[in-house]
Amino acid sequence: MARPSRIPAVLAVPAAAAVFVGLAPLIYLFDAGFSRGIQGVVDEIMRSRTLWLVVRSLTLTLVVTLASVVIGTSCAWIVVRTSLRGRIALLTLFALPLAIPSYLAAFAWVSWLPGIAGFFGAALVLTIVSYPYVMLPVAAALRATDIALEDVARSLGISPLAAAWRVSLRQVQPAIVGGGLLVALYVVSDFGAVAAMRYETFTWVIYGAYRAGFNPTRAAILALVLVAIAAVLIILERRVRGRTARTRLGRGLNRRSVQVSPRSLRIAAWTWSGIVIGVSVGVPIVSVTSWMRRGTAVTDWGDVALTIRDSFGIGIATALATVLLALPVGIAIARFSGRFTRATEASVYVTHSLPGIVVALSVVYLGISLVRPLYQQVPLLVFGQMIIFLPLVVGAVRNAVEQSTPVLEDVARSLGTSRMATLRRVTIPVALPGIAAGGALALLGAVKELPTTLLLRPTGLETLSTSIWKYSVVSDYGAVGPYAVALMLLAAAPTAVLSTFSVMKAARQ
Amino acid sequence: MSPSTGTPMSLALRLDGLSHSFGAIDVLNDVSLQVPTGHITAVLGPSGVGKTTLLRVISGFETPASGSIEIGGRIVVRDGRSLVEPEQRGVALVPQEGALFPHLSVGENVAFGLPKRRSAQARARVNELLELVGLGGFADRRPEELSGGMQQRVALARALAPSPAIVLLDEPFSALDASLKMSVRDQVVAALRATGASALWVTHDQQEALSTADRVAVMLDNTITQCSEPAQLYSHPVSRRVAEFVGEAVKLVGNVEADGTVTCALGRLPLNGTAPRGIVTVIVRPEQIELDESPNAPHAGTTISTRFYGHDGEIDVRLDSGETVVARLHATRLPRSGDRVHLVVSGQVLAFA
Repeated sequence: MARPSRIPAVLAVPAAAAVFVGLAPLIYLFDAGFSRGIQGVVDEIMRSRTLWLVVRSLTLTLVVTLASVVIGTSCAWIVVRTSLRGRIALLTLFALPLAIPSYLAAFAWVSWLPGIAGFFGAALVLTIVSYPYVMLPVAAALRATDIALEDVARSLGISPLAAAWRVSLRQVQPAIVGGGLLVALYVVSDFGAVAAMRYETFTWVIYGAYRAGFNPTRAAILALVLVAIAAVLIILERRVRGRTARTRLGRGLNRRSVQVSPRSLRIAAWTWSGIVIGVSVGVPIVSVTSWMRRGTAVTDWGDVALTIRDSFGIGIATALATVLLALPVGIAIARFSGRFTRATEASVYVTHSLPGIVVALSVVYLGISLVRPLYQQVPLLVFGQMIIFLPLVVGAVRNAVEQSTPVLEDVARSLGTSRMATLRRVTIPVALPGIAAGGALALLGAVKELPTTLLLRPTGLETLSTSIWKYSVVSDYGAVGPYAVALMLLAAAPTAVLSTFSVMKAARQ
Repeated sequence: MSPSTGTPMSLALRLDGLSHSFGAIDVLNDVSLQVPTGHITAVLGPSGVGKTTLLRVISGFETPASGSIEIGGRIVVRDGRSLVEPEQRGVALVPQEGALFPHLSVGENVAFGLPKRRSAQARARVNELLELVGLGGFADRRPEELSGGMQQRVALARALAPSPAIVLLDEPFSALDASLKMSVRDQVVAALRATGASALWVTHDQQEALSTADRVAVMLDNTITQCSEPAQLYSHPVSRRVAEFVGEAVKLVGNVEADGTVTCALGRLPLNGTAPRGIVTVIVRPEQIELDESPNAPHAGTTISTRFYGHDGEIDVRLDSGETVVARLHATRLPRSGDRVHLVVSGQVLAFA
């Protein structure tokens, strides 16, 4: 049944408010960026240093994306199409880097090999933390393609490798491209890895402009260029995703079993998997544990406990606020069509293209110019993180609500329940597991988040991420140890479990 | 149209000239219908004719472009303006596949529309209704533990619990398999009768409509063409399209004579009702056509195919005059393909200009 297009005020008003919150950074950026008129913007962009930044950022993005596509696709292939034992465990290990913050992975590498800093280090670290963005959708798509097609190809006289290349890979091509675009978006938005590796890209320079007693116009213009690049990537990714959905329509039951792989292939697959997991998960874990051994003697455990408490306090506040804001938006998108909903959906995606450092920067300026008393106070920090995690939670709410049929709500209303009470008694409770998972991801994400926390936290307040940053930039890895271990155990590991779980669930449907 | 214009009867539902469209596509065109209190009325129509939209308009999820709706004596839509929100209308939906609330137990589902749903009174009502649909003792089960037929019965109990002015059932059994369908249907009808509830029941299944409803409203071309008791509908369809839609029909060209009979390839036959003189389409039901084994029987033809159904069967016969007709016969008397047969019609036939 078609979704109704007229949206009730109960949803429309809070949804519009949420959209406004999400777009607040952009409003500021345009205001500050264009303060010297359009000519000022053009001059700033055409400066050789800006163009140099564009080239550096895009080179890094391109290299990381290509590497992630190769690694991600090969790992997906190993998990879905070989007969290795423990492939589910392997899938979880391959997905694990998704949960390791890029700055932590980067510090883990430079503490071990200081010479790696620079382009190579940044590219390596960004590749190992972002290849799961390719691996997960490609694995899901591979599972959805019928192995019988490869059998048909082989019966027509084509070798196994050629059959895989010409039949299956062609079918999962949209998933590869979509995943690659997500990696590219991750790379242009990343602050932690490039900062730790001291490789100058947009995000690092914007942060520098802020630290250096700021040139707000230049920072805003650079941020706008960055947002434009991210927006292009988002639009492309959306297009590709639409195509992926269509190519999977109308398949019957697929044969899932795979033939026993030959011994040589198994050995090759194990070797490759070992290298990938060692580099992406092994090195950070070994590094962090070695810091821990160095640090225990001087560690102030009371301080660690306090930091964990503050991190989760802010995380929980962020998660609650974000869920509250995301509920009307997610429900509106899931249940209504029409112009208002399309506009809401589009602005959520615009928000998604705002890198953390850009959000942080705009909220700093908004704080200074509009709500001075709140500047460097917890509410403003929560506000900034809320903007960052809004798209994630809106997506979770929307998926959760779409799982249930709107007929449930019709039945409830025909039984005498008002619109508001139906939301409370039917729509939200039915979708609660999915909504809670979205909230949990926002909570864990907020605990790991670095740039917004760095810029917006109250003076003196430290979270796990800022503590790791604070000690790492001065190479005091002994002091970082306990914070890094806490972050890995309390935030990274649960994130990995939650996201693997949700991806596997999505793949099943 | 509805024949009930004589004595004033209390009505559970009254639709008056409803029209509705989605963009340029008309979905409802001047729909009028009355459901007397305590009656089950079926709306029978092919899929895509606007039946579901009709239910959505009645329950208030769509507002019609024009027309009025009265539920339980209260006007809820007047001249295409909605006056009453869905939750205030006193209609209870039983959708396809039940749509039980997955986060609530069976008992909580049934109690959903009750005012004080955690009171002892509500619990008594829930047990009473579950008992009625044959699911006493299931109150603490989860919906997913029940079979499709059981879920559908819980959905009915949930709809009946707040004693709505009318229950609206939308193809309630289309998702069940054939063997289950009939028994669940009988249980649902029995429960509706036992509570004296009024119901509007949308279906595309003729047998379902004809065998269970007090009155059947045929919906063709986005409007209701006839609303009658089932037997009346079958024997006195108001138009050729209704005659063809309800039951099987053999169509022959005929000529209405001055004495009110009609002549066609199967002879001179008595007319059911009247028809204007001249060329008409004659409609004969296959069960009216029998084998004529008398000597020198007229209307000879050749059997071109036979279908055996068990208790009975059908044959297609090409008459020597050129027309092809279908006859439904007792299974023991089925001729074989290629056999020569003679046919005769029993009873009155229909004719439409």
